[in-house]
Amino acid sequence: MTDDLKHKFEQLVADPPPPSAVPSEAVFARVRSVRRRRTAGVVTLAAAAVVAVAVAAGNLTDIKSEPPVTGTSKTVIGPPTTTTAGGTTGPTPTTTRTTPVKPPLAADIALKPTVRGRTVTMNVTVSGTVLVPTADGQNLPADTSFLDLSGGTTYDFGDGYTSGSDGGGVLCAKSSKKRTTGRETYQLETHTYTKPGTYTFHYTVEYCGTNGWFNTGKTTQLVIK
Amino acid sequence: MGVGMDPGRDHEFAEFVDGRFTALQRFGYLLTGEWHLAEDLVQTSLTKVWFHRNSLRSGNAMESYTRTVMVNTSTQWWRRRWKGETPTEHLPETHAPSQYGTVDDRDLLLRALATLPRRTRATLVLRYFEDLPEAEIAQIMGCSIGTVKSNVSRGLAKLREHQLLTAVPAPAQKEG
Repeated sequence: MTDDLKHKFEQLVADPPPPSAVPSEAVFARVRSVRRRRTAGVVTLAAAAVVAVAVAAGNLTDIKSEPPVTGTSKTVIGPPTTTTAGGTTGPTPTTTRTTPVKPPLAADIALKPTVRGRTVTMNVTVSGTVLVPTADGQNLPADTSFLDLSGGTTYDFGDGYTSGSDGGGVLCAKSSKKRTTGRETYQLETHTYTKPGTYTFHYTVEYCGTNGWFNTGKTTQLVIK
Repeated sequence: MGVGMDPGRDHEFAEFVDGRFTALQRFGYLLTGEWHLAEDLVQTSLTKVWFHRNSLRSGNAMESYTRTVMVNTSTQWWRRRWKGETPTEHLPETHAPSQYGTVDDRDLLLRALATLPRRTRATLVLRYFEDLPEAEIAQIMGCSIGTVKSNVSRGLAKLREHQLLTAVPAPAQKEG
């Protein structure tokens, strides 16, 4: 049976087209292009670092060069305590510290259908704060789009047509601890209904949470005339 | 024609690329199902490999590493591909049924492969097209041998559903 499969694989790749250019030259051209991009990236990063240092330096107060108090940690200090012969009077200094609250892990979906005749174009916006899933034992790269962080989507146009995608091997493992907040809008394939009527469109997306994958769904009614 | 500081290493790399390109392109085709994508995948992967070429001492290590990069890159592409759906007003023309039985068979196999998860597909190709042992596949895929075995088992079961593994097809006969 497996010889059969090998034979079929060999048949499938029996006549590859000739490469569009000399392979090594094409690869070296790409290498040069990547190196140029990286060099440009380093220069930009260095410039950004210089600006950041300059801003930080300008932002220091002139009292022992301490940075100003930021909104994340608020310190309220009352009037100074005065000491008299009878003892200490006046209010005691009060300190209130507020720690930043992490947003809950949740996803949200917005559906925006456009109906033309019997054809529906559906714009989907997924957003929220989720855990970054892993692939090959590592977090997905930082530049992964919010939609690509999902474990898959399913959607149902209500007339028996369903579609979607799966996560392609990403895992929501216990090692997934990194939180990320994002938002992305994309368009589904257009769908044409064969008959008029009122249809219920349902969309579900799966994201990684503390207890594994969790589903978030959204439904909308489509009136097809 | 090289781009690095070491012309000797560049020459060695160019020889590897030119010598193994067709084999890698075939592997890429079985991962992607399209020849032009396969060529793009090979070039993209080899570009990534170039930056690590100094740590890859032998040709075998370089080829094995290139396959790892190809599997990972094709998986990344696939994750991004489905959101690239673009609506069109008119349906694209479908191709006419082929007059060659073998071509139909190839088409069926390609469609069946497309239904497999990317890593399962890659595991099957490495096992039954490249004839690699499970341990080497596990190294390329960055997983355990047990995972390789289960991927192979699941992949074959899925292909059986398409009735692809019943018999070796007869050689192509031109009709008429």
